[in-house]
Amino acid sequence: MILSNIEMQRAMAEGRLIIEPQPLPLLPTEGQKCPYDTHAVNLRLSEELSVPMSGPFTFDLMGGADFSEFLSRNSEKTTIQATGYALDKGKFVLGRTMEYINLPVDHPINREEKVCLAARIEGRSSIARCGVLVHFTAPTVHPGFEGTLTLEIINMGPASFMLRPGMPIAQLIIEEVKGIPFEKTDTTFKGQTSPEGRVKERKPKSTRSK
Amino acid sequence: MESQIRCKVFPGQFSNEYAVKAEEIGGESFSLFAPIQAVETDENPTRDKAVDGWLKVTIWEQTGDKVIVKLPRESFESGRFVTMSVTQLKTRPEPLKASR
Repeated sequence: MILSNIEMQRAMAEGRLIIEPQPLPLLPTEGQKCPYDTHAVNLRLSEELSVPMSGPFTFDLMGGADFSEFLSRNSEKTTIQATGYALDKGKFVLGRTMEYINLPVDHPINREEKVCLAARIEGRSSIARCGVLVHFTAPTVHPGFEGTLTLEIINMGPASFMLRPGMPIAQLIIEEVKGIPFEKTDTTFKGQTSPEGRVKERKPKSTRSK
Repeated sequence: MESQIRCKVFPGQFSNEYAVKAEEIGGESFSLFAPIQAVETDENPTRDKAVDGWLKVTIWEQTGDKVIVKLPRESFESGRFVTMSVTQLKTRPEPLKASR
């Protein structure tokens, strides 16, 4: 189930969804752009970009275990100036959101209702019309995630595209997940086969060895 | 239960992350980008010098001297869960006690 903007804000008030800084204003307000659409909220581009370098190498995920270091070594961090960063056509960079996202699984309401929240990051049509993708392949934000969201930005359009810090770059859609996943941070629900977790699997006290 | 595993730390692609490398029990290496809050180091890594550090993990299951741990982010090679030796943990898990 996808949350409406009102349910999204309710989840934020309850602490089941944390977006920092909180997108404001919560409602349409004169003179301010409201970041909430019917069932999505806009996220903004951070000033930090990671620009992959080209070279005589091949990305090989199965070729060894220094892949994260390899990616870092072959990319340059850069800061978007106030004047913007012109993303040339055909170029690819990594960006990240200004907003920190947290989808805590271990929350009283989640425990009581046997649900948790996940999210999906999507592009914005205005940017897509310029031929720019702001994410591809990896839109899913899993329950329990906390951090900023990495954006895979590529310009497939016919002209350069200006990236500016703070620009609304993507939209976040919040979904309710039925059940508590086993990836929960503690082992309360580990091995669960029912919504109640492992409770029903426990042996009666009298049969336990001392 | 939270614990930490030994790792090599290198600057990440963004300022809020590190590139981290560690080894599973069989000696196979895995790597991931971890939030800087999930990594302890005595000194900051640079592009020229990786440093030793400790990566926060969650203990998922312990069987004998093996332990399955959950990483703070998915690794490129081994997914989110990896098998370690308990000797690789900074904080060893308490043995389970039968409750009365």
